Amino acid sequence: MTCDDYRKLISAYRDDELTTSEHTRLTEHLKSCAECRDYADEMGVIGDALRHVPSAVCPPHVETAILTKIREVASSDVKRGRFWEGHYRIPRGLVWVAAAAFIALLVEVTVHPFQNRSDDRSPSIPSESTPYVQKIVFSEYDVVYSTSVTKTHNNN
Amino acid sequence: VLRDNRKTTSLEAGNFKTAVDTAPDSVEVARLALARLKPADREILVLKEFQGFSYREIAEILSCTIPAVRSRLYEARQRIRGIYKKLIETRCGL
Repeated sequence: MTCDDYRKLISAYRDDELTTSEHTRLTEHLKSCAECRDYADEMGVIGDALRHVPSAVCPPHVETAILTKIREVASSDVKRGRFWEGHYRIPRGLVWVAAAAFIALLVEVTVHPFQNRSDDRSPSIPSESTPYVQKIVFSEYDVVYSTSVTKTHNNN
Repeated sequence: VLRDNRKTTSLEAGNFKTAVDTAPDSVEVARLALARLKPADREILVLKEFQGFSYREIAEILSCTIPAVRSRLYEARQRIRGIYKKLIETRCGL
């Protein structure tokens, strides 16, 4: 290993991120390398100075100006956006899924009831040879149909 | 020059962490050096030195590997060391 390799270990040592074997190797190297010891000391000085750098404090007037600007941008975004892109932030994909589901439901409601009636509930027209049985009437549709059948039957 | 800023220094191998002089001057130089770093270097140094995240946590935050974090921190420290030394020399009129 070169001194550059050991200096990488020094960086990790400062962060307590060395393995035991790396720590042992570094310790052995530092015993014999004055340059790396100086490097370690320098990094210690800089690192400790960095930790004492105060966090940036935003002046009140700057904070107010930033918050005002954020609110302006946010409100203009809401005005420009469509109704589903306001405060609720509904995903656009979800809107399309909902629209497709609504169309499917509409088709089901408008088409399928007639298919059921034609498949399940339309009585066969009785022939003259078969005895006519008065159908029990449950709905307006059946009333009309039964009436016409009765008239046809009577005419015949 | 750097040694003048220290209060105590241990040169014993394996025990080289130093207690430094936290005089406003060295801290100010460190602040200036940090400000002159590239954003990527500053980012990882802040995550480590200020926020105190572990390598694993920094790797998750930056979406990179732990060895990459170790390497990036080393490089960032190399660069801030260079800037710090130049600033110290400038202030001392060297």
